[in-house]
Amino acid sequence: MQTSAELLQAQRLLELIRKRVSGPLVIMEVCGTHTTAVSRYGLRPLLEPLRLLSGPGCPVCVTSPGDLERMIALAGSDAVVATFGDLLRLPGSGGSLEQAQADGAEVRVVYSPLDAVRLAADKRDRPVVFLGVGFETTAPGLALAVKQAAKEGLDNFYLYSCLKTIVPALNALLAGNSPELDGMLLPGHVSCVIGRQAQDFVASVHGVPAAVAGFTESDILLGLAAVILMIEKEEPGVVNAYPRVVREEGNVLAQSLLSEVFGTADAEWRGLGSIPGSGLTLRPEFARHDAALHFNLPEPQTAQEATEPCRCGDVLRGAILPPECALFAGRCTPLSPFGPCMVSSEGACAAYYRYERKKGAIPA
Amino acid sequence: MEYSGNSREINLTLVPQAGAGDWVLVHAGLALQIIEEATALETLALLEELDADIG
Repeated sequence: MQTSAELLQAQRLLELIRKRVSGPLVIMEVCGTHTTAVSRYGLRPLLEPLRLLSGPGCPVCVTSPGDLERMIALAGSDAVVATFGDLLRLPGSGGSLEQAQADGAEVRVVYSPLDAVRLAADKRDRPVVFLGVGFETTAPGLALAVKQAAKEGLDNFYLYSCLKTIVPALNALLAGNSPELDGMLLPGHVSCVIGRQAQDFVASVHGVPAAVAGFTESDILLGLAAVILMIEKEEPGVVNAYPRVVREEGNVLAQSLLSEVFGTADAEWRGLGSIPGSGLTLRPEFARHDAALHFNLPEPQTAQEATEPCRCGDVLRGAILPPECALFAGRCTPLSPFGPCMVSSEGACAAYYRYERKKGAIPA
Repeated sequence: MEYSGNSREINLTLVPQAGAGDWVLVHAGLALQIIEEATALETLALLEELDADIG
């Protein structure tokens, strides 16, 4: 429930932004939840000529086709697979997890990774594989689940890790200098774990002003206002505009848990390709819980999405807005999704389809 | 923990300092941070600070 004070604040922030933006500025909202919130609140048309571009911050969307293929193969094995609901309808070349489930695979949607550990305790005679997709916000829960399974000696609990970290992705995106960004909104809940200071490089190395932002209208507008003021002053920095949740150093306990359980590896991102050091894989101490080592999985594809008409990759890089894809709202809809950005509740295409499809609502 | 009138158990391993009555940020059953009492005033103060020398 919003208080009138909050609405007043949102209005004041909007006025400040509109007063100061006279030319076409481009700001990327990295996080998928920001994309959805911006669409839901109807902020895009109000902010023109400021242009907001979506980024690679929807974990389901950036999951590579090869990883999806391997997760579907896991569902087709004798294992019970457990995951969060978002992943179920993600379409791959060999169907989706939902289709695998219809074909008889045991696919369980769980609320917490620890629920999957309970499942493994109840089904000692069957392997239980958690399909781990997410960023630093999700990874600590999976680290705890693996530790719990190890502690209880549940050798039938496995993690298939598609976990990714956002900092190497931001670095890759900014170093590629495409698209040209005037500023960035940084993800609030990833920042809650890694801290504001871990993202200083956005300004200090790449010269792009940025703000860590929360998810209400006022939170998002405050973040944008902070970025716009830095652009105006030509003093790039990384501002914490979500101080009620994000601390300078983040959650140190969560960080040490992550480095205890996971090491880093190169990871394949849909749209961005392979990014060095951006994947989290289980450390050798936890190898017996590593699904990638225990199941015979299809070889990773090297040439991904080369011939697909789907332009999710371009959406995830901020190269185009969803309506610029020829499939958008025609062959690709939430009921019959062609690409991941239309499936996930955090996906940019799903957000635009749901909230911004009205004629004229989307700036050309 | 209570959310929208529903109660459910959450894991507090990563915020051991949290106690009854605290607001916490929860992701997939795991508390990640204590939410500090946020007031519109505090946020506005940040903005005013940013805006001060621009006028």
